[in-house]
Amino acid sequence: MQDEIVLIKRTRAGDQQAFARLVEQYQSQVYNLCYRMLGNSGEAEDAAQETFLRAFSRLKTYDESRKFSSWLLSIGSHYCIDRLRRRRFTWTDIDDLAPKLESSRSDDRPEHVYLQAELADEVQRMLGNVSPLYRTVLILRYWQHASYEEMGEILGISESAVKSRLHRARKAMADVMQEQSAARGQLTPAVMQG
Amino acid sequence: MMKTCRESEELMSLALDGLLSGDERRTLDQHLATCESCAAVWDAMSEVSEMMWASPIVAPPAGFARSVVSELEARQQKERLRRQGIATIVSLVALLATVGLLASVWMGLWLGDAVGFRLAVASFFDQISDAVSLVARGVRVPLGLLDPTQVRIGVVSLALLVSACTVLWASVLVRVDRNARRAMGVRLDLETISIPR
Repeated sequence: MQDEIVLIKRTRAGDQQAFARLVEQYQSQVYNLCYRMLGNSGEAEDAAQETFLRAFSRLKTYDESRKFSSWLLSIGSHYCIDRLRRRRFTWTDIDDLAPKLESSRSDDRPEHVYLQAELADEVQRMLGNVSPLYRTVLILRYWQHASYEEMGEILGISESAVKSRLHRARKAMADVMQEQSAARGQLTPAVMQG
Repeated sequence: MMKTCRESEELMSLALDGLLSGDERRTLDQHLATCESCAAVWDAMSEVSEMMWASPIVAPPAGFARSVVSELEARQQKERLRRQGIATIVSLVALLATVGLLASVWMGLWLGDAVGFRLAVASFFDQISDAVSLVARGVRVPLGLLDPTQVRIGVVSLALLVSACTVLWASVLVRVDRNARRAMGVRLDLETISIPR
């Protein structure tokens, strides 16, 4: 924490080496947020980069009493929501379909890696079917492990609004899963006959 | 007390985060035991929640931090070039304004009478104003009516006016640019850049 404040102060003074260290420290959190929000690695890289550059240019406005990661994720989530609003067409590169996964477990057997990738794809597909505002709150809860208070700080809303939004987001995800299961249930007999 | 379906749904999300009191949890469980549709929603919400907890973090590409710093350097370089461009324009405008000023002074000396010079300028603008109002009323104005000396005076005066406006505009632009850079906190000492490995 103390080191982080020193790095922030040095970055404010124009030390780009300190800025690079901050990027290294938070790149995983910011990139993951952008990937889950935007759904492909090319756009995620671009958005994560833009998040850090905006943070650099606005660092003088950062209030040290706030958690730095919350401030950074706030910039990232607002940027991604704006980007999704501007988005008209989605181009998906074939390479984007298989992002590099960072597993919390040490199991790197091929079948485990395959199942993890399958799970990540399925979750990402479902996230793509809920609104960006719901997506943000889910990402902050499940991948950033943010508390309700932190989510409120990041999104600029009250804790009760966080509770309500998270509830609606989970319900929306459950609806998407039920719809997908129902669609698979209808498709399966036709596939079997075919 | 038995909860309604809507109230129970609100409790489900808190239950998934382990934020319900014992009483609230019992109330929710009682409702789920008697309401088939809420039980289905609860099962789906629990399942999707488990899936999200289990879904791994996606790692950034190798060399990401380096690419961010490189992009910062490129943008600062671009900003520096833009500022150099503005400085060049301001210098040219200043030169033009000086030439215009000298030409005006020379024109005044050439006429030999400062009062006559001012009267001639005023007369020129009166003529222009009359011509504009005539044109606006659809009357054709022969250009030959304008006195050549007054035309020269008018052109130099206009050049001076335009130069003064441009200098003013350029100074505003430079001030706005400086304020914007202050707000951005961008420093241009690119020589100090180094990227940790």
